[in-house]
Amino acid sequence: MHLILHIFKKDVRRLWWGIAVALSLQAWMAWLDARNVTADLPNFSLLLMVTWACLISLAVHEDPLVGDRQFWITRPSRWPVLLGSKLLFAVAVVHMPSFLADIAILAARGFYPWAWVGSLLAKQFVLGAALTLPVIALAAVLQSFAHLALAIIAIGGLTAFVTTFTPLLHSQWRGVEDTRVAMFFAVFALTAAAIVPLQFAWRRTWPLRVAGVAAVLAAELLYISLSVTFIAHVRAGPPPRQCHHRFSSAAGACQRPHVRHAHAALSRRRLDHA
Amino acid sequence: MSSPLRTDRLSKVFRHVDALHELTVEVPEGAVFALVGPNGAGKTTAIKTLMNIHRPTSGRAEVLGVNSRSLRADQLARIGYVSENQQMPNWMKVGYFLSYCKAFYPDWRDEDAAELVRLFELPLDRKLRHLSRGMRVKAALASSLAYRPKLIVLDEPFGGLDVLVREQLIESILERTPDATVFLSSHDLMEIESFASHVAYLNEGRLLFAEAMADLSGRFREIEVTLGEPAEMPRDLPANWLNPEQSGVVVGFTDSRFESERNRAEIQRHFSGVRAVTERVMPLRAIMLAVSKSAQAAKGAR
Repeated sequence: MHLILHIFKKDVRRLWWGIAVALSLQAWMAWLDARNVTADLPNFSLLLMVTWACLISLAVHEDPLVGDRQFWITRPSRWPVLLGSKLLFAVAVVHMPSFLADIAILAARGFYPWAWVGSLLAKQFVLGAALTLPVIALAAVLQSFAHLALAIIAIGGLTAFVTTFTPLLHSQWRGVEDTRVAMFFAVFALTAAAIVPLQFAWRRTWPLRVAGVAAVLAAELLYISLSVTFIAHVRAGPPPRQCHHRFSSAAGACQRPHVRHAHAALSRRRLDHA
Repeated sequence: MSSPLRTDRLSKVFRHVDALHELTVEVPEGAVFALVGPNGAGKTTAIKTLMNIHRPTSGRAEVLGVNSRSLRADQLARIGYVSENQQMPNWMKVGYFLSYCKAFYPDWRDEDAAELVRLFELPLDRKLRHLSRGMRVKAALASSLAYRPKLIVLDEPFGGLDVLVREQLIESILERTPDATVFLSSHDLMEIESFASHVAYLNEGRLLFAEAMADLSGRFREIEVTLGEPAEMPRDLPANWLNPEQSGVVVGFTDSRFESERNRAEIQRHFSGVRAVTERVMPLRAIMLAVSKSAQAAKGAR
């Protein structure tokens, strides 16, 4: 534990300016959210996510795992110590401030935060699975922050291609979309959860890079195949008895014939207008 | 006496390149063992395989009695490793760098670190990136000597440093860790000759010899034979006569298994009308050149 803290303190000392930026952004967003000024929050949320990803990857690259010339690799510390220090960094810089900000927002909006602790922890779990673990895994198998940025652009580009140029796959049934996205991230998170300890323990970069690429392709394929299956099922099957539909436009008009049909058939059902 | 470092047919192949081929050496305890050879000979590969930075393709290495693949924090805490091309945390100031390293070593001695800082005139408040190459090597060395390691592994540590700095670093290593075993690689034969007790020569990943410096100096001689009149060079010269050359009545070669009596007898057997024989002790540089030249000639002949 002593060495975990020692390496963690070194990373904080090195990245204090980035941490200050992330905490300031987090505090400002929490303040806006607490005062119900939420118009620009999605943009700032994205900015905050990018800041977190940068910080986590920079912390991992402080003691890079790729290469054979690093100063630290012949120093006497075990791999769980190094991994522990990086996880501690992620918890201290990303998850703890985010968790505390959520509590503050709930309290400011008149909720009793401790009643929602379970949900807030679940949110941190999702954040860890969707952001922290994949970023640590990418940083662990890539040589530098620039390589990591390129990898994220490549993964994002491939995902954008899959979602944009395969319009047939889009479904406005929220359950389908949620399941599809959740499965997509689950593949990432599980692969990252396997890659991270393996790379810290063995530093076998190439096999793990191949595993990472395979996981990305598998996630994209899963995204496609799940959508086709679900949409075919939804189109061919009888109208669902229960439907929670959220319209994508403020006008509340559904563009697709099958959705219009569903809308008419389920007019008595509860519609949740966004 | 146990050997702090030994290899047994240690090999490393990088994508069909035989970087290290069946290296077998045993470093005696307390020795200053120099691994020499030209650039690309496999010295750094050998050291990185010993330090478990690279995995051997075959064979094995033992470091401080442990298989190099199983080197753990306990063993690394007794090894001081400094490499020419090590990536240092350049953002750290020297003082913080030393205090950062200190936490990893239970045997760290503050008084030794302070003494090394004084000796090397290290500026504690300057960042490593702002130091000259020589000063950075000194900082790395200070961080690797302050816990009095049992084994010091140096990979081309003095390349590009001026003679004074080199001498200072060598002296400090020998004085501050008199009981330690030093294993270093270098292609600077002058520096090796001044302080190595054992030397091994690698060429194209293959070990050509490994022995005590005194034995090496003892068995190599530059021989010059002056004949009475020009004669054709005999074809069946002994295998230990390296690089034989003839210029008029003078025949020169390097005897790699020199024994005065036997050598004279062999010369008498192969040459007639010998007027004079000169035997010269060879510096390490000349020995390495002779061995290297001979290896190249043998390769060309194959």
